[in-house]
Amino acid sequence: MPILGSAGTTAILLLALVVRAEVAVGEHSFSAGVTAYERGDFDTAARAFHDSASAQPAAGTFLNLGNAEWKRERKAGAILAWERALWLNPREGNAKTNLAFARSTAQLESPQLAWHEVASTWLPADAWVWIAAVSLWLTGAMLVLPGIFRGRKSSWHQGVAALGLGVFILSLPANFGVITRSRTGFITAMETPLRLTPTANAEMVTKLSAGEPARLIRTRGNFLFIRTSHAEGWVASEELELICGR
Amino acid sequence: MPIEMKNLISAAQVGKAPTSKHQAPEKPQYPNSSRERVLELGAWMLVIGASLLLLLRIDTYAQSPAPQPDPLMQLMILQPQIDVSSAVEALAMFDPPVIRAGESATYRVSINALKDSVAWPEQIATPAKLLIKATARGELFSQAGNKLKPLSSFNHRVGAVEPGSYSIPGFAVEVYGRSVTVPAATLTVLPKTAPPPPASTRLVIEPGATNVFTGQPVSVRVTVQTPSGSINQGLTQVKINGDGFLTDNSSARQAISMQPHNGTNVAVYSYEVVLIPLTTGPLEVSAQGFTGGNQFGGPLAVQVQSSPTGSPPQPVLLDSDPVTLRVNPLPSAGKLPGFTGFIGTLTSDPPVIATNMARVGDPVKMTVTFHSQGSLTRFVPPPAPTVREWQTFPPSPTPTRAPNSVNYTFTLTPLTNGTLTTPRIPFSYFDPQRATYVDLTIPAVALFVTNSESVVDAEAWLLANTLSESENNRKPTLSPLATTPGRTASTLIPMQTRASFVLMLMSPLVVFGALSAWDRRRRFLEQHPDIVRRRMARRAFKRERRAMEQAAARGDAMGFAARAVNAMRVACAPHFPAEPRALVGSDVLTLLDQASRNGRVGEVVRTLFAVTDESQFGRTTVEVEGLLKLRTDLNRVLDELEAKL
Repeated sequence: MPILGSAGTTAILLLALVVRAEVAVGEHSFSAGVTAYERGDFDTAARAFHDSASAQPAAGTFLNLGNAEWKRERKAGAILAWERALWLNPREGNAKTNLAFARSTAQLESPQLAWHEVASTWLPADAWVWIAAVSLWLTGAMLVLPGIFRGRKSSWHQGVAALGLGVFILSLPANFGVITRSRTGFITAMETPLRLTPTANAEMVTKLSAGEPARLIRTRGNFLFIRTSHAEGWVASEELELICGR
Repeated sequence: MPIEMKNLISAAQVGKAPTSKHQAPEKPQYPNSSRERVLELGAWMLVIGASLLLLLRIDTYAQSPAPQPDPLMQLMILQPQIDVSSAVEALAMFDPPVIRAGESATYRVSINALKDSVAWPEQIATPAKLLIKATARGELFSQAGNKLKPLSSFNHRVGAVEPGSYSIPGFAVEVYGRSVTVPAATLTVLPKTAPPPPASTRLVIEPGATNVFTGQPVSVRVTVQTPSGSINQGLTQVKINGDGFLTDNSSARQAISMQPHNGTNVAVYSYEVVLIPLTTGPLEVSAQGFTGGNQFGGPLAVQVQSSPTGSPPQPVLLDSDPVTLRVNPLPSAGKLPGFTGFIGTLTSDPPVIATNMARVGDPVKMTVTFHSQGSLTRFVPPPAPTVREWQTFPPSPTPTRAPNSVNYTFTLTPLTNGTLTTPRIPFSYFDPQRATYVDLTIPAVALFVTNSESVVDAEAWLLANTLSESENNRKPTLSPLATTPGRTASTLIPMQTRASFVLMLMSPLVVFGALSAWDRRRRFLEQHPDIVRRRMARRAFKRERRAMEQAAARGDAMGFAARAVNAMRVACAPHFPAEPRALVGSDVLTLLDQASRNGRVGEVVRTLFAVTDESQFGRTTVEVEGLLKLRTDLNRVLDELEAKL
């Protein structure tokens, strides 16, 4: 490694070690969670799955975390975990089934999504980034590289460039949907008061159920201004958990 | 209007010629036609009629009837007066007067005065071994002539462990501000082994359940227990004593029914009322009431063959021994959505919707009937949830003939068209028998909503029904665990919200931009080769000059001369253009100005070229003495050539 030097080599090795350690912790916690869940110790299982998800977020881990939270009768935690599983892998069918089950049982609504947000749920959030980036790169390459390499611009070059540009434009709403959807959260506490102003003693507009979806509009101090399907107001920051964390 | 014009008009009206001068006002001209007289007469009649009407109106106001007296005040005036002038007498007695040790009796003091006017003492002086505790106090009014005669009673529960005769001496109480003496009374307590003395009439309170939950309606039955077991009189002014519960007086009812007593069925009077515990923990509940003889206050359900005869009214305040209710809090675990506080057993019929087809914006009525074994007077229906496709309104009760049932109608307004289902209305109740919450969610009902006046497509409606049934049959369940975590991510925060997203999109553009710029430069140089030649010549010139300096530094005169000649050739080559090795001294001199060419500079150039030619092509030894001394002049030549490069 003459180019990087000894300091760079050491840094890369340390980073690799840290990543490897996190992976090991995640896998170990996942296995421990499964074991605890199967013997009916749902508190331990939830803790283990939470540790695993913190070290190594994965759709399967969040699915199991949701199951454990549901067994602990923590509906908000379960719904949040399953939503996160779908956030990482929209094709996680079990998470969809569990969310339908939970919302049917707890009589909760699913988040209201705009059309571009619905489109963003077709693929994982990061996939849309790569689609946009690769299509844009492809468009640029088809426009620039033939000339640089003294090649003749043929029709397929232009076709691929047009296709890439089209894909890039079509992926923009989905990327925007990911951004707006990332401000979706869920109420964590039962009968959370929705207040008129961002103060602890403010007049209460209504009470929100645990697991009810809400959209974060803005933040002021320790309070969040949120909008639900039927009301809007302020809640304390610890009473709303965003789907992608904060 | 100008004055002249007025005069002109008035003159024309009276048939006179107009004058140009100002005239004095003339006398008014009276109408002379009969039609005008009629009109004038009519106007006068109108004025007189209006005046009369006004006078009548004023008279009407003046003669408006006197305000009606207040009905409540009239009712109070009509009520017979309460007798507070009669001589106040107090009567004290033990009921029964003889008990066995360990049993209890009632020490009852009756005073013919208003209860609030009696300053009843907090403690009564009693024998040391006589246990006494205040249990009930009440007030009753009886008709005596045209007055109401008050009777206040103060009951105490007394008992003694040891046999003997216990007397409560007479004491004075203040009634209407005057002192009234309560006479002495004596209780005889027999040994436990003595035959039982005659029992007295007492009240018994029987709760329907003693282990209950907060808010659970508890039916309480109060019966009169007579020594013979048969009914001889009813109760009035029944009251349930205690703290921490609510008495639902609207549920009170009294009845006479057959009850087994000592092997035979006897007619028994009972009074039932519903209590609702409000606090948790043990609650002491007791009952009190005045014996009403053959008078039963309120409706009475008689469930016996013969009508009760009863006895003449003998108002005596009876009270019961207390019973304890153990009130548990409602469990927070397992609480289901839509719980409105109903505790008991409840069922509901499937919702009935008024129509299966509706238009957007038209309200749709959905009726749900709830049934219960217990009382539904305090039943609170579930509120309709707020959903996107529907505008919902609070449910309203609708009358029903079915006993122990309530009907509620939900008004729902569809906001979108298509095949819709009414919102599922979460509802649950608490079953005290199973100590769990029970889900009684009102299911969704499908209907077809159109936004036009056209006939609803029957096929769509059938499809809606089919879908609805299949959806109802497919109940979701909790999935099993995932066996592997699956593809992992570094973070949940999407890349789109980070600055690296823009960087990632823009980085190829930078690369392609740089490539494009390089390509443009390359093409430009291809079209201008002289730039490339000069650039290459500059590089070669610097290289040769550096080598020349190095040769001079080490004293290599021939090397110095060769490098100097090479440098001059390289510097001159782009001007011709030509291969540097093909240039000779005259080519270099051509580039110098006339003065330099003929002066010292020209001489240096010629000398160096001559020396290098001699060293390459001559057979004699080249004289290199003094070549290094040309260094200063040579540098001047090279600087000049470099400036032209």
